[in-house]
Amino acid sequence: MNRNEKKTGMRLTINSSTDRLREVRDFVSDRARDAGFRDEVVHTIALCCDEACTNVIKHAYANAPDREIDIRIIPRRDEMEIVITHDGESFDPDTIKSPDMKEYLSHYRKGGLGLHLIRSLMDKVFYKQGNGSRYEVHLVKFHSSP
Amino acid sequence: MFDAKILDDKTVQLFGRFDAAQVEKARVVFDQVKGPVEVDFTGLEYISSAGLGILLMTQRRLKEGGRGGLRLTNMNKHIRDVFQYAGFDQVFEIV
Repeated sequence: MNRNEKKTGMRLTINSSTDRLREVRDFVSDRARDAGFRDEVVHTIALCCDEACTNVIKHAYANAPDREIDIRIIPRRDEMEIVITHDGESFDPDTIKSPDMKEYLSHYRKGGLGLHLIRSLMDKVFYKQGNGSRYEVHLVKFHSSP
Repeated sequence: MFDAKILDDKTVQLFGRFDAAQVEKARVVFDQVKGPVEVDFTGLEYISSAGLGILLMTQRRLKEGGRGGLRLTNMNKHIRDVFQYAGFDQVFEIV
């Protein structure tokens, strides 16, 4: 872990390398399990955080491995929220359409699949500008999800 | 940790966790696949859309060349779920 990186109970800060994705998944899985989500849901939350961080690395940081990504967990009685913060290029996934999966699969398209998984598996997904030049991706999972 | 090994002309074995960090390593292996193969998931613990993308591109190359496709075997439940979420269970033969 770099000197500037932090890992506390509900927060993990990593450099923007895909080599750190496993750590993200493990961190989020542990917190989701502690929050009482069943195993299948824990796995989908970890997958969505992996996909969101991968998108940040690829699109916000253009694969530069030395930038910072902050992952914060906010557990609530009815839900768990994960906030992924970066200070790279803003990209608003709301402006990106999920692929038409029928067309995507029949023509073997590339790209957009991670976003499709996030939108399909999380209960709420939204984006907003944080402090200064920082941008936040918010992922929410309800405890009442099937 | 991730590894992909071509055992013979008919089998590719996957091990570990197949995420975006492993795309280049996997691409080198799957680019060597020239015909229908079984992809054995017995040792694979995790896959993300990055891994699915490599499999889909390989399937596309084989199908477009009239050289069969991939037959995916021995997935754990989590990985099978990811294929279903993505609709990839409609594209691949999964046994």
